[in-house]
Amino acid sequence: MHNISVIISIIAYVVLFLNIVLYLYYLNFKSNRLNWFNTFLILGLITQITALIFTSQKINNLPLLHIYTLLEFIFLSLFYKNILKQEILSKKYFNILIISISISILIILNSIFLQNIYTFNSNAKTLTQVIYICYALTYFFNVTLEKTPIIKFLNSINAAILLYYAGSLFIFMFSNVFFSLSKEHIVFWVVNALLYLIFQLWVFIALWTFRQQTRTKSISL
Amino acid sequence: MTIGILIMLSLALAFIVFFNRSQRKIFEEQMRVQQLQLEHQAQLLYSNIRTQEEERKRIAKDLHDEVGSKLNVIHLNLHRVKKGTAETPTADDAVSDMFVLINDTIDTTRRISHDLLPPTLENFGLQEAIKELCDSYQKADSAVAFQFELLQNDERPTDKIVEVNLFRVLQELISNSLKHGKPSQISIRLWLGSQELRLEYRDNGKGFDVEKLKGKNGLGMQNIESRMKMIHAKYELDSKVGEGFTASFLIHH
Repeated sequence: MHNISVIISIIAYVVLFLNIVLYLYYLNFKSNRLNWFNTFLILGLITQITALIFTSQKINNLPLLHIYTLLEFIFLSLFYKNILKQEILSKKYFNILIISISISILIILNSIFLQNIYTFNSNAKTLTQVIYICYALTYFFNVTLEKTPIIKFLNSINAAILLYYAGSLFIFMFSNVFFSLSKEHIVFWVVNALLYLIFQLWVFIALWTFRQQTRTKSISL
Repeated sequence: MTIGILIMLSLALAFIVFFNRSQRKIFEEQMRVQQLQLEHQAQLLYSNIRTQEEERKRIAKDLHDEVGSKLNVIHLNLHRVKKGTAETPTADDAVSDMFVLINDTIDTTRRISHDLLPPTLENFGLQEAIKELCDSYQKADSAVAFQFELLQNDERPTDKIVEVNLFRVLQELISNSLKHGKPSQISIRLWLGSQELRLEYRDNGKGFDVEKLKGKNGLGMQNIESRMKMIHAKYELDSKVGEGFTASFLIHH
């Protein structure tokens, strides 16, 4: 079962690498407001490579997860801050910056006082995943009816985010339990790896479709 | 735990499917409304063109029948006055001046009435009207050679609305060619078949890049498009820089 999880993860990271390249090539130079999503993808790859190095050196790599959770939250919040309509953020519902700063402080406090850096930070992961689900739902409820390639791309990315973080919410919520009973619950990590692969494939398809649609058209961002 | 994951996944999937469906529905509804608006705009445009033509016809008729005939009466009366002023040089000069003025006014009235609705088009049909149009332009501008050929004539009566609109389009095309293309030759070819009517217009002027002009049609070109849509004509406009301009029209009876 562990091997399956590893194989799926390797495929997912290969797709992640392709996504980063595609994103850099097709989107990064065209719109500043979309760069944060690629920064989030790059963060995922760097964290994974570093985690592999740590494992090979027999160093506990859980501190990386604490840093990753914080940075992932910051990058995704900045991404949503840019793509959600300004009036939603500032007037109607909430101010994303205030929420981001508050949650970031909570993540840091959790790592210092509640779940130290050598344990699984399930509290922070659960909290941030709930917020990502809220971001994705907010986006869907306020999405514009335009059908430009960029809007279609953002819709796909959002669907991927919603599916992955909703699916893996319970896995991370009870991750500390899995750590103590790892053999019995390895299947959940396989599910998580599978969901992550689906997430990366979804992003890949979204990027590929965007590439096809913008080949002949100029993009309006 | 497994149930929790499955529920969350199902909810997320259901939401995405629901979102996609509702987006598609709203989008389709928007497209339908847009289509209706476009159709409504087209109808408005057609009725505008129709009203314009009717109004032109009425003004032309009034000018010819009312103003024209009264001017002729004035002209005749002036002849009678002139006989009585032969011995008074000042009055005679004044009457001569009035003659010139009246003749000019009669000519201008006739020309305006003619331009508004050529009687040839009304009485003798499209081919004669085009012939006359070419002749009139030829007389006005001898630097351009106008050529008209009737290549088929199956003697099938053509709808008056089709004739008037095609004639107006031709007027617009010639005016555009003379204004922008500076051609030395303009040729018009007409096929009056039993099933279809075909018209081809060609000039050897400067031409232009059709791609560059797409989406920036002036009023004249918009007018041509509207008129052609109104009579359900298929048309093609083609031009290249330095290679003149060609337009072809096809109308099924």
